[in-house]
Amino acid sequence: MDDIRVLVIDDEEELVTTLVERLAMRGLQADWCTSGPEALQRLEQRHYDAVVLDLKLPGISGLELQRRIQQAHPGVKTLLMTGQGGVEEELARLPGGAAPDIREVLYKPVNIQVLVDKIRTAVKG
Amino acid sequence: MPWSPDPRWRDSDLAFFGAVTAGATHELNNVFSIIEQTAGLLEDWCADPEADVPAGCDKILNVTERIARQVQRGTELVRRLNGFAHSADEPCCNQEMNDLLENLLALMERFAAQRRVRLVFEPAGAPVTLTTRPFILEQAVFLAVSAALAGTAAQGIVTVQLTGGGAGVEITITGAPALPEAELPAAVGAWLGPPLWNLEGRVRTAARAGKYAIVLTIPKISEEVP
Repeated sequence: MDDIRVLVIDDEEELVTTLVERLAMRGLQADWCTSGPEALQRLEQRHYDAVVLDLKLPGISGLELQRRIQQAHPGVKTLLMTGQGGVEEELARLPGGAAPDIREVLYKPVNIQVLVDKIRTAVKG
Repeated sequence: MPWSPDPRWRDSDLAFFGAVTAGATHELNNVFSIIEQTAGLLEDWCADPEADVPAGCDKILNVTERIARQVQRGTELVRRLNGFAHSADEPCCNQEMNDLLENLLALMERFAAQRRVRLVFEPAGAPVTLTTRPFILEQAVFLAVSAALAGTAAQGIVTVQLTGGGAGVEITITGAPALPEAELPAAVGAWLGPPLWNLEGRVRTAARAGKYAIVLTIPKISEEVP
């Protein structure tokens, strides 16, 4: 088992549970949740090295959640997952370039091995 | 809290069309993602002799059922998106209104879910066929429902009710107010004016007991259907 602990956040429960099972089969310690408030609560309860989060979450945008995570847990690496095109360009247009804390933008459907590699690179450099 | 649809949706038919299409295709991407990961999980189990797959087939059946469920979800989304796209085929036609609204509101469910609001459709008791401009009517309903969603707090409900018959219908969108009652009519009239002019319709608002309603009155259009 890898020593990397990752939290996957997506409101599609069938997607997030399957992703977590597949990440675990590849040696990562992975947990999941389906909402922003739940994610913040999980991060308070346990240390995570990285979060993989959907850009479009109910009630809170992925970017807003990412900002709150970075404020409260600055060491946590963020990988964005989205089904929306052109996100990198959108991030680049944000005032002050709000993207530096985001390590990767992954477009759905995500290849599992690519996701594992990106998580490991984000955490271990 | 802003109580208005996104200005881009008011100013351009194409922007409205794009918003609905983007919402549906985003949903489709989730469907494909779940199918891909679920099929991948089956592959993982086959490739890993130590995978925790019970001797019985329950776990595998659960996974294949998940794939079947997502295929069904995707198929329905495509059918609804196809129906929406075809509503622009004829500028004016005889349209069954229960079907039109049910389809549009199903495509709008994602917009409601993003705000954690429930969108409920109350169809007319019997089929209602109206001579109208379906695409413009969809735009008017989309704008009104978007405004209701924007003003309704999480866990709230927005209801769309259809009443009437072949001579004309009323579509009543009920939600929660985010503007003082006195400001509602002017705000609603401003952004619903252009589509309603094309539909020969009118709008009125009512606010009472913490709820408001936008009532669209859409008559049978005077133009002859070819």
